[in-house]
Amino acid sequence: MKINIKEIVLGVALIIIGLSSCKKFVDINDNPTRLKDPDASLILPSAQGNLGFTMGSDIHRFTSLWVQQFAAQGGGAAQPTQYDKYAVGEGDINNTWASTFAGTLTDLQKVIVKTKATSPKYAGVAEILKAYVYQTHVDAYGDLPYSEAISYETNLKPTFDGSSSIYDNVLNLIDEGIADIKKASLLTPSSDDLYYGGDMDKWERFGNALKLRMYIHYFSTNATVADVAKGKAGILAVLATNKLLRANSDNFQMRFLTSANQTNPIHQFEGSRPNQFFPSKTLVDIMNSKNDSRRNSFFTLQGGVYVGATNGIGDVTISTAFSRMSTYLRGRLSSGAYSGEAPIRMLTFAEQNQILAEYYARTNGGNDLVTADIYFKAGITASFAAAAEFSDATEALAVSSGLASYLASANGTVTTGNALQKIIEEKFVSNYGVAIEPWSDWRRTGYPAISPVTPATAIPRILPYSFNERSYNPNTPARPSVFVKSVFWDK
Amino acid sequence: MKKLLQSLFILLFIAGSAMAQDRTITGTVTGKDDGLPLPGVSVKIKGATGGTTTGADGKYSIRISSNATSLEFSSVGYTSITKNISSSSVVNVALETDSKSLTEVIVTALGQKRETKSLGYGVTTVKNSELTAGRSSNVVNALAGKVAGVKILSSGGATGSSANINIRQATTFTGSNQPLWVVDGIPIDNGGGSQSVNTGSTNSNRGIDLNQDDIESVTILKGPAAAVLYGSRAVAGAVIVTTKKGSKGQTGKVELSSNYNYLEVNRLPSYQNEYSQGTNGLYDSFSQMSWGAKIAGQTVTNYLGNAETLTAYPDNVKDIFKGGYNLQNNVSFSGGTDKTAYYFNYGNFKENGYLENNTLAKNNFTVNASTELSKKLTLSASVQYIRNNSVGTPTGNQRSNPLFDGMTLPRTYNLDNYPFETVSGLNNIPTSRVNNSGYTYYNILGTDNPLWSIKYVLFKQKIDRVIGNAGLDYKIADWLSANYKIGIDQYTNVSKTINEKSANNNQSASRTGSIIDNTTNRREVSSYFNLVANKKFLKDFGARFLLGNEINYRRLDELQVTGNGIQVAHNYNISNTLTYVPAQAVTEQSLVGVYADLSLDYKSFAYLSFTGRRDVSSTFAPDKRSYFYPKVDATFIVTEAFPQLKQNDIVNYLKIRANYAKVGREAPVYSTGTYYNTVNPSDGFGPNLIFPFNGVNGQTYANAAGNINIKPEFTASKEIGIEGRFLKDRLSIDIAYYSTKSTDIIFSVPSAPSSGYTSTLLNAGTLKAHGIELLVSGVPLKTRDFIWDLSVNFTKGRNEVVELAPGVPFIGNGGFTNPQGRIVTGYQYGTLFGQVFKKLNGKDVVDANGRLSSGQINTAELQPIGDPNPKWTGGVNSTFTYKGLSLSLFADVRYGGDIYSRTITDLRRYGVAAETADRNRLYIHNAVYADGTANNTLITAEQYYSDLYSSAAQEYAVFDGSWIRLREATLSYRIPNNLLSKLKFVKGISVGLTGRNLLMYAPNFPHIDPENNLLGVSNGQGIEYNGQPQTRTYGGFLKLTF
Repeated sequence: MKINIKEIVLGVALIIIGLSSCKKFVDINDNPTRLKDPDASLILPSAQGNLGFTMGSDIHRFTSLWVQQFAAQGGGAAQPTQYDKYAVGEGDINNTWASTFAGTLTDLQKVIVKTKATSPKYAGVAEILKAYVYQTHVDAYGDLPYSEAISYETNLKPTFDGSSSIYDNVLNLIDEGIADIKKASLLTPSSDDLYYGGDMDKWERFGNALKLRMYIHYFSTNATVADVAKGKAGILAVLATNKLLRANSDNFQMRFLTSANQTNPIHQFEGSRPNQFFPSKTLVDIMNSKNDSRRNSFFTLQGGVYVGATNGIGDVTISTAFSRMSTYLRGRLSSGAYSGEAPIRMLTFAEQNQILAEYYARTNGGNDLVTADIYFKAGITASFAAAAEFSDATEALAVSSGLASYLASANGTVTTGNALQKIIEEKFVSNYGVAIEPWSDWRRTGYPAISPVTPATAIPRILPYSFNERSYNPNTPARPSVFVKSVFWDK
Repeated sequence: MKKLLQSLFILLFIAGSAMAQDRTITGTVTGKDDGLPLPGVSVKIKGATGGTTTGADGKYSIRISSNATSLEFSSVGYTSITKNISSSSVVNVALETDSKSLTEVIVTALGQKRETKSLGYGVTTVKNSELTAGRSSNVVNALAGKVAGVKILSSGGATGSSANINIRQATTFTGSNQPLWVVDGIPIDNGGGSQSVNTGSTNSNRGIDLNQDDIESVTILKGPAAAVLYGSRAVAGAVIVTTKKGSKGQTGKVELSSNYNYLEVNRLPSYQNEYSQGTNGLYDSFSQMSWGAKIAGQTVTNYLGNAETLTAYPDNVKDIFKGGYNLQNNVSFSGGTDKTAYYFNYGNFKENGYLENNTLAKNNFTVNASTELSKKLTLSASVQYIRNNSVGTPTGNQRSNPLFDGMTLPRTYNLDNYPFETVSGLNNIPTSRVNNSGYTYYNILGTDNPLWSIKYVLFKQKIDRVIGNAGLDYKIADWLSANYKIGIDQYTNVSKTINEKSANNNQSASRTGSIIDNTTNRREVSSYFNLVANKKFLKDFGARFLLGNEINYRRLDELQVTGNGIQVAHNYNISNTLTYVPAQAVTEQSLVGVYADLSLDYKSFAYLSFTGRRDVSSTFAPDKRSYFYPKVDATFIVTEAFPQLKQNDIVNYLKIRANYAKVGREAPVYSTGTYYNTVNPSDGFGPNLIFPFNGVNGQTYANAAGNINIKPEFTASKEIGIEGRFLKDRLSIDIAYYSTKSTDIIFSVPSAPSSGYTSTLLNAGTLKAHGIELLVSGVPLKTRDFIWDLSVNFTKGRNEVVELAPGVPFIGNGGFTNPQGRIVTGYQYGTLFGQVFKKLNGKDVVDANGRLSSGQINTAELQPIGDPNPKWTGGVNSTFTYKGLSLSLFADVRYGGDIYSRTITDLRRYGVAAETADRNRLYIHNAVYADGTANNTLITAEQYYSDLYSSAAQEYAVFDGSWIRLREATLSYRIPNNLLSKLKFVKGISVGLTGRNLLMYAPNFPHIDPENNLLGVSNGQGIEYNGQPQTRTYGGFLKLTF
């Protein structure tokens, strides 16, 4: 056999080149474009952005329709008309549930674990945020995974804790958070804190306001003596700190921008699903009856008047002849377009005032109508001021010019007999655009007096659990009906 | 094929030595078909050793001894012929082609050329003529129905639509079930083609880049056994594309071909034309419905506020669709010298779809060449350069999909009667029910005017692609050879998505518009080194041993900028937007495989083959990344073992084959770790929040957890088959039964979100499938001039999801929250689940008003509503040839396979379908009240159809997608050589007429063609969602050979 040397050399060379450095060749399984361990300053904005968006998204739609701040329109195929008829299914909960647990809470947990030891100001902010998430979500869902939640691979099926025990834990968590933000910290949140820009004093004030909101929940129609005592003691302790929200500028809210897909989600929904989400007749009629000048920025005029949509009929009786939400929720109006920069408000100075008004107005609380009236008026004043935040000069004047007469009238004064109703109705108005809380107030107090939509006989008192959670977590409690009282304070 | 077989034959079987002989005989061997000289034909003296082969000019010269009586002429692909030797010293022979040659050789995995009869597994080859008949713009569609066991489903009729290909059912849950594509021995990318549910446009699978006219044949390696040599990437089978080559010794040949087809929608819904836009019997100019007034020429005020005479427009939907066309031109040169062979082709393809602006233009340049550097060393190289430009139209569940409401236009609404854009070219859709002369569309829910989105909402793609390889073949000894091949598939895909200002879709927040610029580079490099030994021993035994190594590297680099908020309309420069969201993704993965294959044969009738392969994949952690798997197959040719069996006219050939194989599958890239992502909060309604936000970026911990412990998943398969030819080879049958079982399936197992993860990657689950494949072909009629060829294939398969992960009842497989394709234990893969009405004793429960209102829907659990897997499929190919005239008809059948159709649902709910015109009577739901008593409440047609076809409950929206269709028809005529001889330069002329999808019969699927899939190339099948309807094409071709 004749062998050509050149051919052999060629072949051997190819083999050697082909087989060299095999190990390095397969050691390439690390994603070059994604991070495995970013700084807390990148994770905190993610949690806040997610939370701010969530509170203006599904969970706001469900709860504000049920409590009749909004009403749905657009025919049976428009999902909100189904929600409006209390047909919120487990599947409808999937998105918001996953955003909260696998999004917001997961990121907060990552921040806490990363920073607790060396940069506790980050951990403290994250803890207070986590407390807010649990407060709102316990109010919406009742029992939730808390002590075993967010354990990743180590526990893929967390058990659910009772709503009352989560409240206790959350109150402690707020204290822990406030303690942490006062500690020396290697890193401090600044512009990466989308809510308070790293102002630790404001975080402390918000922590206390959050506790007020929680403690007032212990006062409900059929609250036990023990509940009331706990609520009262808690509120007194918070008042003693003298660290509360001082003005609308302390509001716990997420501000949005005017750029596309950075506007607030309520405004975005109005753009992507027009004619499906209108102010409810219930809300508009309450404001109409009081000739409330906040209507100027809350709603648009419809045929020269303010007209709300009736809840529960938008699947069949289709119309667009209603007032729509305006600058208060959608931002500045110029040449017919809203800027979309209005914040998603989550706990406002106005609400804090009404919480205290309620506390003082209650005979089993402060039992002091004079102080209650002061807070009541302060709350109204704060709400009027906020109402004009995105108004042009004309609208701002129209809003503010109604304040004096409103305060002077019976609408602006709490009196014996119907103080609670007045306060909660006022809170119902000033919490326009705030998710969950108005519905909690109704469940606690029965105000405002709303009727179930036809043909239902009751108004839902709890959200279903997420379908995915129930499917993949056998520890998920049964939730046979949304009409059953399910949160510990809902008595 | 035959030329290829020839060259191979030369390579493998040249043998013999010269002996003392007495005189010389010369002659020319030609092909009987075309009269052209045949090189490489073996010429032997009967009863003696030694011989020769014909040269490039078909000529031979042989010395024979005086006692020689006859000469034997044989060549692969031709029927051998024996000629008696007379006193003449010239013996000319014309050989007849033999398509069923026993020694037919097929290109199998790794370019290994094997005798078909020795194979112990299922392979099917589709020839060029079958790929180009009834031209489809996508080579995948050209395979539809032709191969038993292969399921092709086109996603729709839009130009550039993707087509899903699936061989022998699904073998994994959420990973790709698409086969590996290999061109001339080098893997290429057939990715893309999956459609997002709520955004995007028609999106091609990248196989569309190939030019069918360049392809000599496509061989389908079915299942793990056939594809095991390709390793982990071919668990789902392999599609082996062999391009055309020149032949050594062939005189230069020039071929010109041109093919033009007219294109139109093949089936449009039947509409009612008696009732107007509106509801409750009243005209309403803003309504999507056609439950309005009886049309009687009355005057109404339209949404613009103008008076209008109410008129039905029977063709208002039809008019959205224009006639399109496609045109393919090719020019090729091929030929060779005694040492080299070359082939060059330039192909140009252009298609204009039935929607304006929906186009595809392809330019393909192909060069294949090989040369014998020495007697032992052959060098070959092949390069394809492809440029593919396309423009697509929005699809799916979005308001920019022109068919979102376009198929259900109110019967009294004619798009052409109104301006579809404002003077500044924007879309002005009503936001309230106030008549306004500035509107461009009536649709109050905000759907874009179909004509407007067709014109302005576009997806443009430019692909530059090179597929090439270079190889060396070295014959170390007669029995031993080595070959090396390296190849690359590289493309750059530059796309621009234009969501024009005022468009109302999920990528155009508050109708501010957006532009998405994307540049994707994909590169795949593969290298193969093989040693092949062939040895006969102990007289009757043969052995073939292959030892080889594969090195494969894939890299995808994607850079995208989304610009939101178009500032000046019609300017599509990214800098004309307000905010920018950049994104980059880079994935790199590599695989090194070592394999060995030992094939033994005994007397050419018993074969036994063992294969083993070890892969090292970069996608696993170091301790898990090396894994081994085997294959064994056996073949027994009964008729060769017992030659007396074939001594009759009944059984000519009988072969039994069986195999077992197991192949490991790689993990998804980068799945061994859990990463952070840029956060993008969103809900399902379009609103979302883009980061960086206010100067701050946000990173969120991934919802889907990776897993460092992930190991390969395995698919094991068993197969048994029988092949036979009967009645003087007039009838042939190939039956195969297979079963597969996949274990340790790698998938993202859903987990409770409260754990912090919505899913974790695990090895869990078992999936089984089995099926039967049948191919019967024959020549029912054959006279001197007339031949009728008939072939029938049949496929039937079942699969079963045996188990998922503990505590996981199902995983979603594509679609919506409802309906949704699911993978559920005990069900067939991808069963459709949806909401159904509450039931009592098996009947729907109506409310007190006799209605199936939204409150009557069982929202607790989704129920199975349909199975998208067809019960069986089949294809019938019939070719009638009379002299140069040939008529070929190809029909395919699909029996069963449920499809959720949103289009049909809408047609009925909106009151536009013909059957909804029956409104002069009352309807009643066949249902019971909550107390179990029979429903007796009469309701209107509007109420009846709105209830049953509400989008909230899907149980009545699922239809049986069975069809029979005349998929392809070709009538061609080849002008006889004797007529051509007068034209000196022209060696062949063929002309013909072709058609595609000419007839379609779907008895249980009303209004539209059931071949439509929202998700495109995806594991999710059976959901039609306002999809672009299928096309029918017809035209003609001309082919000239010089």
